[in-house]
Amino acid sequence: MEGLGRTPARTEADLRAALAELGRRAPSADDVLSALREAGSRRQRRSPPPGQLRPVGLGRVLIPRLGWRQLAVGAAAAVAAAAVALALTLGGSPGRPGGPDVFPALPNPPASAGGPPVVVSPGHHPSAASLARAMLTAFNAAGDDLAYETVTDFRAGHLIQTDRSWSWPAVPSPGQLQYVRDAFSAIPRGASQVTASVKLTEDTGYTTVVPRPSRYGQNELARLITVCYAGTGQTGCGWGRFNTPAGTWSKHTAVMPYIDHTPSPRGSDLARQIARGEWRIVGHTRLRGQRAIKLAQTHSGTIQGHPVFLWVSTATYLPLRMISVTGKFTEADNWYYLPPSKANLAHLHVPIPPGYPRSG
Amino acid sequence: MTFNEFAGARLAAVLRFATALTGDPDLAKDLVQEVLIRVSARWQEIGQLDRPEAYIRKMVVNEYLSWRRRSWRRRSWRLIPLGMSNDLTGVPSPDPADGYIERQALLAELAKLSRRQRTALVLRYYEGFSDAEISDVMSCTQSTVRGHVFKALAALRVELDQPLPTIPPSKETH
Repeated sequence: MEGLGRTPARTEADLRAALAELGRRAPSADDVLSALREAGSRRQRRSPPPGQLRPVGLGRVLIPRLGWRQLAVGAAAAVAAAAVALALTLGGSPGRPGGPDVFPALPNPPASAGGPPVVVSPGHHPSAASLARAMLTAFNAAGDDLAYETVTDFRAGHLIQTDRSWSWPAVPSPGQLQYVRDAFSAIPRGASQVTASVKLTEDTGYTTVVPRPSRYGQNELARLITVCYAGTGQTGCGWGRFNTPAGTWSKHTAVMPYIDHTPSPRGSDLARQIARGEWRIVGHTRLRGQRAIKLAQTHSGTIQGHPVFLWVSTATYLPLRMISVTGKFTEADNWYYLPPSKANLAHLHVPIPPGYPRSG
Repeated sequence: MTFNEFAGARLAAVLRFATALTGDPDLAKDLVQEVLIRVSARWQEIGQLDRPEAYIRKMVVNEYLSWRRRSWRRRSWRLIPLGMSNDLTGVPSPDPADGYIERQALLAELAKLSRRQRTALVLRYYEGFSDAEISDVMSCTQSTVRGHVFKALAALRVELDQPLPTIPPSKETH
């Protein structure tokens, strides 16, 4: 095999390996069977008993259902057109169907969407250049996934705050509808930073159409849902000019500053840093049940002055974790690229606690 | 053998085959579901065949080749070919990461083949079928099968371990 810019000398074995890899991404047989039973029961109710064996491949029994990705693309286009017209006519809570809404409900994907990750057996240390290329390829291929990131801060080994965010799609394109949820937990104000436990403080859902890249701040029409939890010592939760008092929730659709909520640093940025020699491979290990390469940031890295470590899966070539240590403070970022199944996308919904009134 | 017994034992293999054929797990699921609905309705007859799985595989292929309601080419392909976005330059080296990249690139090029060429390749290199078996599944002559395979391999720049048998002249067109 050859690298970029050259004509690959592929063999039949390469082709077999590639097809075998595709085969490993097959959806679960259980999912297909349950969908089949459901469709079969619907069909039985409206169709006569089966007749004689017909030649294969003739006729179609079902109207093909639209894939969720097609729905998502269509929904994004429809939203971009309808957003301005409907911006002032909103109502209803995020969890309740019915009522006009600028942003459509999340599409209903198949439970098996995405398939299992590609498995690559690690032979030896890859070069920094090839590791970076593999990471970029993997990052691009994971663009439709649901990105889940946790940022956890410890002080002298004690958990002091954690930020969990889900963003979908993981790598959105300009003009594409982007769904984000960010749940922030911290030690309540006034409580001991040494012994108290963190408490869910603010839960925010943010949906917008991704703007074109710009070096300047951008404003975009967005839907913002905020739940500001009581008992945290905070009097309210703020987002731009929108304020949500503690113990209430709010929902606004308006033009507001765009904030990129995709995991940071992006997988592509990490890949470029690796290619530039800002990270060096220090060993192989296992993390979250996957084989992983451990890297340490070099002195030319962007986060200088304290130790920073990065773990990259050799099964998927996606980043798994980054840990930085500054004195007694440790920050651990964990990244998960999840298939956009119905269950996973459900994390994007912000639950409204019972009894919380709407304040805006 | 009941339909449920058959599905429990062989459905996973059929799904793997359909995924290799379509290049997309979601499409494979749709494809197999549609075929299985017909199969389940006629299992009394299909279950009596010597090789029901071969018959079902043929149904999957025919469904795939005749599926005109969808615009397959417009489907978003999750594997982005190298050079299209976020590309990097670097020195090629034979290591595991390179193998991953190359497979993604090969799969992306595989998606650009015609459906008949792709079907012939999957039957030959994934299922290990002979030309005779492929010609039976695809309802064409063996020379047409070899033509599909030859053109597909050329498009993918795959070097053959051994040259293909000579293709006798054929008037068949597909």
